[in-house]
Amino acid sequence: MISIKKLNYGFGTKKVLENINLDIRENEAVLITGSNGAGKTTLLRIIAGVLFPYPGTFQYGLALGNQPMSRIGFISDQISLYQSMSLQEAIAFHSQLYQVKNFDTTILTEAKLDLKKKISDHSVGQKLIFHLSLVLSTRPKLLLLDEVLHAIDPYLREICLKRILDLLILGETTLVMVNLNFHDIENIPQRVVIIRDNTIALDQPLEILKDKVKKIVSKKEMPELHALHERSFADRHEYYVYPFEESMLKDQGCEVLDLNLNDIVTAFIGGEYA
Amino acid sequence: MLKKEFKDAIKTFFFYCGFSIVLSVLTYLAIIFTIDSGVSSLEMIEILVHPFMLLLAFTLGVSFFLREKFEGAFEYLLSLPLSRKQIIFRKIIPRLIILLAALTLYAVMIVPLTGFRHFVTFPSFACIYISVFFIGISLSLNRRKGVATVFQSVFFFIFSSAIFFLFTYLAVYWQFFIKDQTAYFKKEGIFAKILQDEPLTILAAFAAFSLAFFIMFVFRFTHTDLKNQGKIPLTKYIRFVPLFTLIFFLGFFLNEYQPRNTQAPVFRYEFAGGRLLQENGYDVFIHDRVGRHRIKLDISNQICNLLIQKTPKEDRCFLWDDLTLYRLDPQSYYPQTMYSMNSDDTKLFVKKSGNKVYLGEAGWRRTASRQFMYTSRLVTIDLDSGKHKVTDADFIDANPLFINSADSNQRSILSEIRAFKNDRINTIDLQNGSLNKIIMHTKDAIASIKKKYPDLSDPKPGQFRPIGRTELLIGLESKKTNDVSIFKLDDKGVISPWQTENAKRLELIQEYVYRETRSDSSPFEAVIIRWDYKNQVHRLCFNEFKSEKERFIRFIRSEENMDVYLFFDDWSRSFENIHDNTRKDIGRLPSTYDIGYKYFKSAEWNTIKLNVFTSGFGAVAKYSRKYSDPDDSKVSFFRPFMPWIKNYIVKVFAFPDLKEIDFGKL
Amino acid sequence: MQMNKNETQAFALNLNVKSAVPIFEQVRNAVKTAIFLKKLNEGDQLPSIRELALQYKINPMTALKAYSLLEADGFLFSRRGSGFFVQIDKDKIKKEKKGVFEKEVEGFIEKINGLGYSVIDLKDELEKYVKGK
Repeated sequence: MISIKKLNYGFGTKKVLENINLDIRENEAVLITGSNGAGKTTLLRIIAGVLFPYPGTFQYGLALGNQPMSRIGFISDQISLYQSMSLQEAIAFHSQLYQVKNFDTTILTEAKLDLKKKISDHSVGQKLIFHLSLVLSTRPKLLLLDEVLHAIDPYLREICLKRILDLLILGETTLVMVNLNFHDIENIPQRVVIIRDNTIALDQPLEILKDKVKKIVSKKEMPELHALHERSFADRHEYYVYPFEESMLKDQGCEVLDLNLNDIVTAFIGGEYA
Repeated sequence: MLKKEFKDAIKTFFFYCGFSIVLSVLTYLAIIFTIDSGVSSLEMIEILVHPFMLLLAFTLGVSFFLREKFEGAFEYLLSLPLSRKQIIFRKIIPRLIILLAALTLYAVMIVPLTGFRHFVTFPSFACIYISVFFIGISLSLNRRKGVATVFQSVFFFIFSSAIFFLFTYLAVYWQFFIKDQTAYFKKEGIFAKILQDEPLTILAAFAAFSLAFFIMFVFRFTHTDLKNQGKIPLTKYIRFVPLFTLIFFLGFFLNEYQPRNTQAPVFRYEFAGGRLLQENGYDVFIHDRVGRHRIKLDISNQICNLLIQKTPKEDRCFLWDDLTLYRLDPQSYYPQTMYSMNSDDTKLFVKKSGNKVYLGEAGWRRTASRQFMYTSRLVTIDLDSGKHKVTDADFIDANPLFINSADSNQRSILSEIRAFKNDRINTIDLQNGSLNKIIMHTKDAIASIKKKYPDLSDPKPGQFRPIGRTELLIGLESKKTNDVSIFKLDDKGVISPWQTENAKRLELIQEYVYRETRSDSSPFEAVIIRWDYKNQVHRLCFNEFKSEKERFIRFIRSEENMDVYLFFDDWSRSFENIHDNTRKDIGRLPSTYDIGYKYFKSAEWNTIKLNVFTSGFGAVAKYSRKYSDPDDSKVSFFRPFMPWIKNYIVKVFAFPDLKEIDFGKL
Repeated sequence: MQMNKNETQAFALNLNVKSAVPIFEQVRNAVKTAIFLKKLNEGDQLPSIRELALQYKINPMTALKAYSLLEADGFLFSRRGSGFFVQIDKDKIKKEKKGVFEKEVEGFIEKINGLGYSVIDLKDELEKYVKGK
């Protein structure tokens, strides 16, 4: 669906993305994450068509058809909408451009949003819900979400996730999310891409990561582990290792623990800050 | 998206209008309270409307992405399924429509009222107007951050400006080096001169420049993502260069080869030997087989009055500029000074008659008793010998009358100059130079008239007119109606009513009527109508001095096919209404009494010629830009609006029955 | 969409996100356990992929994978248009149960070994337990 080869992006002397190679297949659910300022949002913007890559490094696949932009739904981390429009106007505007015939207002009703009020009269969470419903209404083939869910209250978040999952269930959508918060979406992505030092540090299916990224707790120091990230406490040392091998536990007094997504990502990013 | 853009553009337009109306009101108040309280609303409109329009165009341009910038909707816009080109297209169309609608409104409503008095014609103004819009768009995405953006913009700005100036330089070079062999280009103010001579070229260069700027903007927007990624394809940009060149040369050639009707010489005279003297605006050229040569004059090069005989036999011509009478001989390109006034003096009148020129001048002189006094005199210049004679005569405020007679060859020559002042009829006999003064006892006469006709009011200062060396016409207005009763007073104190066929309608026209019959059967040639502040025709020509501000302008010159001339009586306002603004020395006129005299030459040029229908109501204003062109087939832009203008003026300015007035023999 | 109360009770799924066990595996195990414990019986309808995904916020592909594997194992069958239904194959279940049993024992032994007790100790303890009953 998307093919990225040796993508470089920067402005002036500042390099934001270096040598990015990424292929996204149809109906995948991909999580892109990394430390702040790693370039995730920039990457997403490039995919969305808002920023231009250098020629030859980026290509939309056939699945997106002749007009890729009309099949892409994008929500950026800063709410970008014509805020002085009323919800109704924005819906009409959006629908006309994306040729949406019947706009489904159920999310908005559930969120108790008044269609006649202006966008700017709403809270951040409400704006996000609205933007999301706009985007979802176009039944995008590629859904790009940049840190969208954190500002929405838990109830509405639930609703939004269900809507997103609906699209995944129907098998029509490919999801690329940028998130720094994994609580709600632990089980949604199938693949995790971590951006570090402006390049892709990791690109693996989540199952493998769950299998191979472990935390080893030991009383002794174990520098030979070449851990991704380590934490030292008074009574113990914690090492995040990848890929995990049984042989790492040769010493007694070592314990190996499984990690959730949050910890996995921390392991990778934490190394960056060390 | 078009609908939304339309709404946005209209919002911008109304916001701008509101803002500028407030600003205009404040400006108006500021002006009337500080500078000049005689500014009328029409004048105000005129002053403000051009910057208003240009700023409107610019505002509509820079507000191109205003909403996106303000509301942070840029990303949303760019992520929509519209190509960058489509975005620009959908934004430009509504704004262009509004722009053109405003321009049309302006053309239809304001222009006929105020005229187009700037040095550029209306189409040129429209061109500047639209160019400014595109420049505005090109600047709409400039941001402070992003040094690279700045460099890019600056680079292309310099590039475009270089083209602009290169072409302008070429135009200068062409005009002055190649075409015209006189070394005029060395004078200062070359670009101002170019602006005057080659306005279309400059305009075309400006249009090309703004187009270049705009195209650079379009490329930047469509090929880069505004964070400076992506390169502007220079090769693609280069393909527009022929377009710009074309636009420029189009302007250049239009300028070069257009029939210069608006600047068409009214006077073209043949010299002996097939040479042609041509007065073209302020420039005088001689054409001969070699080429066209601009005549060099010492002073400001402002020709005001060309005294040239029209017969081919005449082999010399005389030219006036501000202060000097020149004679130009057929073989030379350089005029000879015949007579020069002091620069402080004021020219009261100039009349040419036969081979003599009679100049009334006024200025400060030291009298016999060694006092400085402001006096006037008559200077008689003999065109053949070049000698001049000075006779003291009091013409100041006297409004002299010029009496013609025929010479032995039945040519009309000026025989007498007559003026009524301070109860005296002063007559200068130009044949023998004698000055004749007759005292008329007007006070007594008026008193006795009023005794007999109590409903008549006192005559106003201008309502006296000598008809002959010993007779005076006095006009007294009825207190109830606008009718005027005219009485004749002679030097013996005899009063008699004075009737002519149209006496009832005849308004007494004092000293501002120049009656010159070209043939015996020819009727009166000129009538003056006064037009007051409200642009209403008040009455026919009464020489009324309501205040210092109101003056009638001396009308002297006769022309072919002259019908009716309309003069504004408030110089400070009207002068700019009808005056060609290229006269640098005019500026803002003080409303003092000597305006009429000092700038009288301008008066002749700045008239709206009215054709008076014999059926009664109605006047149609025909605009001539600089001269009262008898043919005036060059109404050009205004032609389509003529019927409208006619109706409009008739309604607003309808004045009472006006028939061709025969003043009979005075 | 709300699930049937019966089904909710029958099929308890607590996803352990920290576990290295993949989600599909966890779902699979939960279904099997429910079948073993007779909480799910022959012919009971299981939640649809959609319901599963929505309720537990898992990727539908994951849910699909779990069900596909269960189907391959023979624990459920799908009827087109109707959904997924439990299938009881007694032999298979017996086999699975045995497998689970063995695994649990193994795990248990490892645990007690860790505490310092041997299999002999276990045997003694078990005898005590049985005698006590």
